[in-house]
This record gives sequence, C-alpha cells and structure tokens, in this order.
Amino acid sequence: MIRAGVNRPGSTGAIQLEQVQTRYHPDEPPILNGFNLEVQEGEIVCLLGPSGVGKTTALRVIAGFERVINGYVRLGGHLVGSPFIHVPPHERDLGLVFQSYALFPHLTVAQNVQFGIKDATDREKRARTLEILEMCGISEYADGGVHELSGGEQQRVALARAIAPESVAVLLDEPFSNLDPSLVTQLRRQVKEIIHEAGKTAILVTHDRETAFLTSDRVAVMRSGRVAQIGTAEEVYAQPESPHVARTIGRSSFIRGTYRGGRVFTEAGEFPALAANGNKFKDGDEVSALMRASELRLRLHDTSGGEEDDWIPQPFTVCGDDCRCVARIASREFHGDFTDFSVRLPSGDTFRVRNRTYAMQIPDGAPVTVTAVRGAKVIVYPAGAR
Amino acid sequence: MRRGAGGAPVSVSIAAVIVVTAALIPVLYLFVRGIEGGETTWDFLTRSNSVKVVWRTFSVIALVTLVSLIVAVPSAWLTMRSDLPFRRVIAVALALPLVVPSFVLATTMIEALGPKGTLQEFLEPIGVERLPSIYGLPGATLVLVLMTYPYVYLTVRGAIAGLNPELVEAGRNMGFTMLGAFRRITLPLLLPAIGAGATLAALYTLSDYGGVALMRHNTLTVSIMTNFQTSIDRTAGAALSILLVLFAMLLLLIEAIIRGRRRYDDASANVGRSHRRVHLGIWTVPALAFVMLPIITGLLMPVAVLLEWFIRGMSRGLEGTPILVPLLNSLEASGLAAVATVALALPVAIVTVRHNGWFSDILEKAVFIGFGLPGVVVALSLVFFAINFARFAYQSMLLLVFAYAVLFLPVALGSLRSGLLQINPNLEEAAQSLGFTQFRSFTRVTLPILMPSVFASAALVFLLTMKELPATLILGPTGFDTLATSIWSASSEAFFTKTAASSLILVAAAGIPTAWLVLREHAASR
Amino acid sequence: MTSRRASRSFASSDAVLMPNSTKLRAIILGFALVSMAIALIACGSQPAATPVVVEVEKIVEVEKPTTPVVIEVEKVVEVEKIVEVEKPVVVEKQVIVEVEKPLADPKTLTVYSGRSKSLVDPILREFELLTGIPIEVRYAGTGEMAATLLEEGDKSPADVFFAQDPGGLGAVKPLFMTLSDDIRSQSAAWASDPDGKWVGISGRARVIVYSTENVSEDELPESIWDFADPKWKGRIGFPPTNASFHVMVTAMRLDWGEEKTKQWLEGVMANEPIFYAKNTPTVAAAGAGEVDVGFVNHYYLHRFLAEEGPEFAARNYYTPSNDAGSLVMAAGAGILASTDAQEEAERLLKFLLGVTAQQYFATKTHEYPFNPAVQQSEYLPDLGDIGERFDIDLGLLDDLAGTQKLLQEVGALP
Repeated sequence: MIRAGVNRPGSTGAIQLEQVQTRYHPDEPPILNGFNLEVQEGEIVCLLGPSGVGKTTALRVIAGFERVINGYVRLGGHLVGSPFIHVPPHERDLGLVFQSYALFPHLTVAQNVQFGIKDATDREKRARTLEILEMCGISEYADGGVHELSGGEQQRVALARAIAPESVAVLLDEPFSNLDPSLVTQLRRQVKEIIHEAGKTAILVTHDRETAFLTSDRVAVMRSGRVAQIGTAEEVYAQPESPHVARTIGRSSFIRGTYRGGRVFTEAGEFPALAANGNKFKDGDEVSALMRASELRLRLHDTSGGEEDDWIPQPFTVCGDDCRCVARIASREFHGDFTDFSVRLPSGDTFRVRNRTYAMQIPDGAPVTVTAVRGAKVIVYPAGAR
Repeated sequence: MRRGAGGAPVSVSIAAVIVVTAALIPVLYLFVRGIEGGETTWDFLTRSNSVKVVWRTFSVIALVTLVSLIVAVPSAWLTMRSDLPFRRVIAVALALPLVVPSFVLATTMIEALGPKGTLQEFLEPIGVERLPSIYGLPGATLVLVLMTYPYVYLTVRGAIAGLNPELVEAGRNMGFTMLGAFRRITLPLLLPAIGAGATLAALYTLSDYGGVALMRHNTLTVSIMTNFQTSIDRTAGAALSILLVLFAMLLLLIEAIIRGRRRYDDASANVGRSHRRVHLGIWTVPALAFVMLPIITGLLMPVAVLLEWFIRGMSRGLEGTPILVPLLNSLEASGLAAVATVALALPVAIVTVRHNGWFSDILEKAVFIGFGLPGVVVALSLVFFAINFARFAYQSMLLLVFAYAVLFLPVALGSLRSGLLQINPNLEEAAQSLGFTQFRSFTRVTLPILMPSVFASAALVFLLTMKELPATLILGPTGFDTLATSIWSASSEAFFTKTAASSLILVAAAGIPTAWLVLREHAASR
Repeated sequence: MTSRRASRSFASSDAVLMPNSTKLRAIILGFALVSMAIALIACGSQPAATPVVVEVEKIVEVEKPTTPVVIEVEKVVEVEKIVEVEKPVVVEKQVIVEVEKPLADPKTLTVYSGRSKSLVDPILREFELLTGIPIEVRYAGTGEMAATLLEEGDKSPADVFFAQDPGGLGAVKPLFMTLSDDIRSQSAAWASDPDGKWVGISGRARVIVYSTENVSEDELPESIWDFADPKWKGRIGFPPTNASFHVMVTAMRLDWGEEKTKQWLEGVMANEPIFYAKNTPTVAAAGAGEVDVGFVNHYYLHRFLAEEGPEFAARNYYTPSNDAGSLVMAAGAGILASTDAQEEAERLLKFLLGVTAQQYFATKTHEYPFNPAVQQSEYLPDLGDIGERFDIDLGLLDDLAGTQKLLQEVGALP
C-alpha cells in the first residue's frame, strides 16, 4: 500500500540527486562523482557498498552537511543543493540517525525525542512524543537518561528522535553496525515497520547486504562515488549489472570460460549461461562466469551415480571426452545445515559450492564434478569486466 | 571514514580570527618599537651580554621543564592509579603550589632556605654557620619547578582520566611488567599531554619575573623588566622582548616537531569502567615521600613562613595591609577576566577543534605566544596601544581585563579544546537536522555538555588572574589595588609581616577553584 | 498524506534562504550588544578612570546646597622631641598650627608616584582629608613612571609626578610646567631644578649599611671610593637597578669624571657584588649577615628597626668624605603642563613642603625635612647643613641615560 507511491506516474520523487559531485579537499579526487538517485515517497532505499565508497558522504550531502560542487539535490521537488544554492541542514526537514546515535547526553529520552518537534504547543509536543515513544516501544524509558539504555534501545531512541518532527525523510547511517548480531535481525524488522508506520521516506546506508535486503524496498549498490545499480533486492540479485555489484550483494567467485550457444564452457564443466546487463555474446567469446555457491552442487567424480542425491544429474554435466575433470576440493567450511566447499581448478581459479552436509564424506583433494541446480543459470560477463 | 572538515560556521571563524589578531597586538607593538629603534635595537641584540642572557634563560627553561616532568608525571600517576594513602588530599595539595604567587614563594623560600635562613638556624647547633647560597640557577630552578610542575601535573591527570584502562590491561596481558606496561603503553599515550604540559611549563618559565628576579637569576624576562623599570628609553626593552618572542616561537616549534602530526583526539574514550588501582606495597613509603616533597616545599613551607610572619606581626601589633578592598578588587578583576577570557577563547577553541589544517594550526600557535610573553610586555604594549588608539580604555578595567585575556587565552583554550574534543560532532549535526540553526545547535546541545570544561577553564583563568602582578600594576585603574599588588608593594619594601595576612587570603581564595578543579577530575575518574 | 506534509514543510524552506542571513546578522548583533554590555560594566566599575564620569561627580557636588562653602580646619600636630643634654633628658613640646582651606569645587588630582605607597599614602590621604581634594595615586618605580609619562606625553591623565630622585624628574622635565615662586621658595634651592620645573620635597642621604655581626664601624673606609679595593671581594651588595644608586653614579661622574667613575665601578664589579632588586632587600641581607656592606639610602634601616626592633643586626654608616658617597639627594615633585587641575596641584606641592607634611617625612619616614621650621628625626645623625655636605646642584643630576649606559658597559645592568 505504501509502495503505491513508487510507481505513481509523474511523481517528482521525495529525494532526488542528479549528477552530484562533491569533494572534501580541492586536491583530492571527488568522493561522489556523477551520483544519481531518486527515492519515491514512503519508500525505503538502501545505499549498499563497502566502506570508502561514498555512502555516508551521499547521506551528508542530502542532509546538507556537505556542499555539492556539481549537480543538483532536490527534496520534495525543491532544489536544496547545487553549486550555487545550499539550504542549510536545519531547513531541510530531514531526520538523521547517526551511526553513533548522537543522543544528547544532557537530556532525558523524552527530551531527546521532543527536541526537534516545533510549531506546536507544549501539550501537542508531549502528545506527539508519547505517541512516537509508544510506536518505537521505548515509552517505559521516557524519563530516564540515555546512558542507562542498551545499544538497541539507544538505536530506537535515535530513530524516534529522527521521525518525531514532521520531516520529509529519515536518513540512517549504518544503523545496526554497533549492535549485537542477535539483536539485529529483530531490530531490522522493527525499524522497517516503524518507518512505514510513520509514513516516512527513508534512506539507509549500510555495508551489510543482509540489512540492505531485509530493510529496504529498493537497494542502490554503490561503486566509487556513484550508484552502480538500483532495483528491488530480487532484481539486483537476479541480474547484477557487473561483477562488482555481484560481489557486493553476495559472496561470489568468477572463473574464466568460453561462450558457445547459450552455454558457458569452463574448466569446471559446462553450464547454461545468462548474459546480464543486456550484454550480447557471440560463440567463442571469452567470458567471466559468476559461480554462486548456493546454485551449484558437486559430487565425487568417479562414483557411479547419486544414490542419496537430492539433485537430478543433467545430461550436459556428464563429463565428455575432452573433460579432464580435475576440479578438486581444496577446503571446506562446515555451517551445520550445509557445507561450503572450496573447489580449485587446474588454472588456480577457485570457487565455492554449497552442498547439504551428507557430502562431508568427500575428502579434501578428491576430484569432483560440479553442476548447476535445476533451473539455475550461470551469469556471464565479458572477460575482464569488473 | 572521513567526516566533514568544515565544522565551524564562518561567523565563528571570523570571531576567532579577530580574537587572535587582538591577542597579537603586543607582538605587533614590539616589532614596531624594534624597527623604530633601528640601530639601537640591533646593537642590543648582538651584544655579548645578550648571548649570556639567552644562555641563562635557556638553561633554566631546560632544567625547570625536565625537573617538572620528573616531579609531575609520577605524581599524577600515583594519585590517579595507585592505592597511595590519602590520595584525595594529596591530589589537591599537589596542585596547590599553583596558587602561590612566585614572588611570595621566592621570598618565603629565601627566608627559609637562604644562607642565614630558618633552616640554618635549626642547623646552627650542629655547627652549620652558613648554608650554600640558593641564589642563581639552583634557587631559580627550585622556585620555578614548584610553580610549573602543577601545569604538567594537571594536564597529565586529565589525560590519565581519559585513558582506556583496557589498553594497559592488554599490555600486561601481553607479558609486560607493570613498569614495562607503563613505559610501553601508558607513557606513549600520555605523550601529547606531557608535551602540552611541558610547553606550558617552559613558557611560564620564560615569562616569570618575581621568582627568578628574587633568586637573582637574570633571565630574558628579568632583563626586560629591569630595562622597563629603570631605563627611560624603552627600545632596549623592546629589543629584548623581540628576542623573547622568538624564544617562545622556538619552544612552540620544538613542541610541534616532537608532537608531529599526532593529535589529542585519539581518545578511545574511557568507557566508564572503573580502574583497578595498582597496589604499591613496600613502595608506599617512598611514593609518599616523593609526592610530599613538592607539597612541603611548594605549599606547606611558604604557608608556614607566612603564618610565622603573621604571628610575628600580630605580636608586635603591626597593622597589616588592608584586606577587604583589595580582596573585592581581586575577585572582581578575576571574575571579569574569567568570563571574558573564556568567551574569547570559545570561538578559537571551536575553530581549532573543528578545522584541521594550517588555518587552525596558525591560530593555535599564535595564541600560545601570548602565554610566553611576560605580563610587563603585554601591559606596556597595551598602554601604547590604548594611548594612541583607544584613549577611552586607558587605565580602565576594560583594558586590564583584555590584558588578562591575552595572557591567559592559551590556558582557557587548552581546557575548552579538550572538552570539545570529547563531544561527538554528530550531536550538533543531529540538532541541525532537527531544524536548529548551527548557532542554536551549539547553544542548545554543545554548550550545555561543554559546561564543565567552561567552568574548569574559567576557574584556571580566575586563579591565574588572582596572582597576576605586572599587568595589574601597569594597566589597573588608578588606585585599583588587588591582593597581589598590595602584597607586592609591601613586600618590595620588605614589610613582610604586613603582607602575611593578605598572602594567606590570596592563597586561600585562589586555592578554592584549584581544589574544585582537581576534585572534579578525581570524581570523574572514579 | 505524506506528500501533503512534505510539501507544506518545504513551502517554508524555499523562503528561508534570505531569513537565514538575517538571523545570522541578529546573532552577530546580539554578540556585539553582549560584549558592549560587558565593556560598560567593566568601565562602570571604575568610574573615576574615565573623565566623563568625573564630570558627573562634579555636578553632584554643585547641587549640594547645604554644604558650607568654606570651613577652616585647625590642624594641631603634637610632636615629642627628645633632646640629649648631658645627663637629664628634657622633653620639649613643639606645637605646629597649620590652616588648610578646603576648595569649593575641587577637581580630582591624579598623582603618579615613584615613591612607594607605604611611605607616601598616609600623608596624601591627610591632604585629601584637609582640603577635600580627591586624590588618586598610581604607584610604580620612578624610572617606570617616568617612561610611562614620556609614553603618555600630553595625553597623560597625571597632574603631579612625585619622584624618588632627581634623575626621574629630570627625564620628564620637558613635560613639567614652571612652578610659581612661592612654591620654589618653600624648598631648598640646591635640592630643586634651577629652571623651576620641579622642587625637592624631602632629603635622603646615601649611606653604607653594614652588618654589625660581620664588620665593625672602625673597618669602614673614609670614602666610598675604597670599596673598589679587592679586600671587599664578595662582601658588597647593592641594587644596580635602583634609581637612587643611578643618581649617586651620576654625581660621581660630575665629581670624579667619567674615567674615574668607570674605574670605581669596574673595581666594585671585580669584587663580585651581590645584586639586589631594591634597597630594602639589600638592607635585609645586611641585617641577616648575607653581605657585609651595602650601598643604599639611609631611611630603609629605620623601618627595619621599627619592625624588628633594635636586635636587627645592621646599622648605617655615613662616609665622612665629601664626595658622591655622602650625597644627600631629594625626593621631588613637579606639575605636568597638561594638567587640568593646576590649582589643586599647586595646593598639593605647597602642602608637601608645609609643616605638617615635612613633620611627617621627618618622623615617620625618617627623611631630612627641607622646611627649616621642622626638626629632623632624633634617630638620624646631625649632618649639619645637608646641602653643604657634598656641594652639588641636584638639578644637574638628570643625565640618567648616560649613567645607565655606563652601568651597562661595566655589566651592572643588563
């Protein structure tokens, strides 16, 4: 229901950045360069990327703490940032949740939340504060100091403070990075619910793909100061625009191969191929194949066939005459429900294959046959693409 | 990940530049005077006598700084991190020599330890006719060490309080002995604070007059003061003052080189964990003796001599110098100085903390030169400035308070800076994102959190102003006697018994904020 | 719903660019106001320092109709003088009657004093009490005050300069007005400026203070010249920065000539004297036996005797030879030409030379009075006609700069 706004025709977008360039120091390369992003009202967009890629800078540009030297920043259709116009942070009507939470240590929880509520009588302010505290499930701490709270509670106070004023959007900088992992799963869902319930647009910055997938409506994968790909989690996962994006959204390995007739032939065998990002390949083109552990299976090469296998051998995985079948298990990671095997090829390339635990019996160094799970395709990129 | 560098609004930067420029008026005056003097200036600077004076100044600075460190660093550690008995009282007492004016300390020290002083009287029965003279380098060093080690002591204490105890535990875990852990981990982490304290000590030594003059060690400042007091032509004094400014710059340069590009703000902040104190065991007695030595010579002995004078004066029915009016004047001047100095230091502190780079470096260094200038140089240049450009302010409280601000800006700055560094800059940004202007964010969020530091720096300025002498003498409104000036004028006439009561009150009045400063830190570190 | 909210809040933010800068201006204005307020408080706390406020005080005085315009005050000073006549002690009572008329509308007098507060404050307060003329005094060293006056020039707030010695007075001579004859006639001519720019107020003798523990009076030489002898090595103390010492050296230069004076100074310096900051610590050091002899003014000893009693182990020695070592100098005063209170200033000078003040200087600070009606302190030796003791015109002793240069050459001054 809330996402209805996303596809509304002609919408100007709650937050819009166009060809934004910014830098900290004239002698240094720009942190953001040609950064484009459009976030619709009521939508949660996640900026995903490794550290140093400019995620936090992008957030600070939107919040108004950094000036742009090129491009435009619009909030609710109004120009707030350009080389010539800079609306200061306090006039941008945005709520910010800092990585460090930045709760005011000299104020109580309620005072923190009430801090940004303006243009209201004291009674209205109190009512609004209570409502928000309730919504965030922290009303019992209202009159306590912020030091007495646990990390997760501080996190929710910070969020409550950011959504309490009538703001255009909420910006969250690495909101879960300082928290205990066991708390994070639950908090991710809560934060998403609170933001949607409050009817806020939100941009969330994270380096953690799980957070990005679980918290956001759309994911924007960043690469060296710009957005490399944006879309729903499923879209981005299904067709990563580049090897870089693929690596950002999941553990991935690449091996060399040759494209021929909709298939890719590699040292590890032959797989159905999918050309991502609109690439067109001719037969015989050198390609780079994305080997995703969860879409591959392996079995011992010399055994006669899978007695307990839950996978169905495909005709094209049968080793032909030219296949030397020398993929070998290099090491393994035991996860309980499954085991990740690291498979080494003669050329030295390695990739991972995820199997159910029964395959534990295969010893290290054993030759194996690798196949794709049913229906899966190996995504291929032009050789040398990054 | 980098945070934005442009932390301070333009208006604050402008205010900071104005403050620093104003603080540099005295230096400017000196160069104008020196250039006016032309050949005379040059002759004076190149005399062989000047070389001797520079050498004497250098030797006393080096010696005082070194001994101050030897006294202060272990004292700070012992009172903060060991199970030394009575450490609360000792912690306060160790800081208190700060409140004894150097001329009072030197006078009482001569009375007690002079060739024919009290100590000699005690030793007379065992045949000691005359003690070796304490005048010259040894006496000057003794007095100045007692005057300056509290600067190092207080800064190092502050740094120890902010130290993460886990770091030391990690070191001990890696197999270092207690001493090894101190040397390899604690000491390097304290190095910036030690450097800052040592710089303050060196600059104070450079600027002190009363102590070295009474101990007859002719440093640059004594030469300057002598020239200003005796000579009608002030060119020579200005020439020597230029030498002094160069000296101060050299000291700051040395500190900058030693410190390198390291900054104070590494603060892997003390996470509020309580520290386990180191058990001293058989070392308790030597440690007690070590910390008692400066307390006895720097605090108890002068107070005892003052009390003796007081009783002697009472028994002879001699009238002391008046107390009430000078006390009120002292409180008024010190209070105004504290408020004004902190207000002026605040923008400079913000700019130097929130900006990195040459701009803030220059501002910071420029302010520190003022601390190395003797009060007399600052005062006389302000006389010149006021007569020619601000006649309305001449001999008014306004100019006097401004002089105090120039003299003590660096001190106020130090405490404000360390306070600001501990405040997460995100706090102010959070307030801005909640619709408050940069200025309002500062007043609503940063300032309330900064308040303890503001009070601390005001207290420091207050107590330094209480005992300030030359600037008060030269710039004070006519007839404006403070405790320090009335003590000085009576003691320079050798009416020591008359000064006893005033001196004791001065020590008490300045002692209160000092005790508060130390106790506050003590509480914070527990 | 969210869209409405968003656009509402941004309707305001479009227009905020301008108001923002006015807010900034308001803040700066606020800062300025606060700092001005601080400045006003600071000024207001010392109203007398600004001329404007002084005028306000004047108006208040005029508006007081009930104050009688002129009161005659009789000041009776009773002085006990002990005269030693053979065995029986005769106590003679000297009664002095002096009349001071208060001024109707007095201006505040600002006095720059090179003499210390403990010495002159009581008598200046007495003047204030008797005449109703408010006095404000700045105290500092004579040299420092002279330099300050030169710096201030004709913008000086000072009306009267009360200096410790002729050197300081000579240095600011161009800033003084010529004094009237009735002031000059009250002082001794030998102790005043020949051009009538300043007058001597009280006399002080140069003496040798000696430690009675370490030296007997017989060992002390005829003339100060003899202290250049190596036998005094390590036994001498003096304050090289003291203005009176400078005046003595100036007198030596006039009497002995530059060469001989330099010779003496070099001789004394070769004896490795101990330097003191002032006369008082020099006397204290002699009393404590730290040094055997010191070159000082005579009256400091008497204050030690008063404070510590007769057991204080030092005494004064007046060299019998008639040279610079036996110089009697004068503390003196002059009126700044830039004064706006000439009448009050003249009253002060007359008062200081009058019987009451001269009696004070004679008995309280143990100086030699210049008023012939007043007798000197009983503790001081009778030096006969002090003006004749070493016959030199004090007005000639104003080459302070030349003396300081010489002292720098021999290393006595930095």
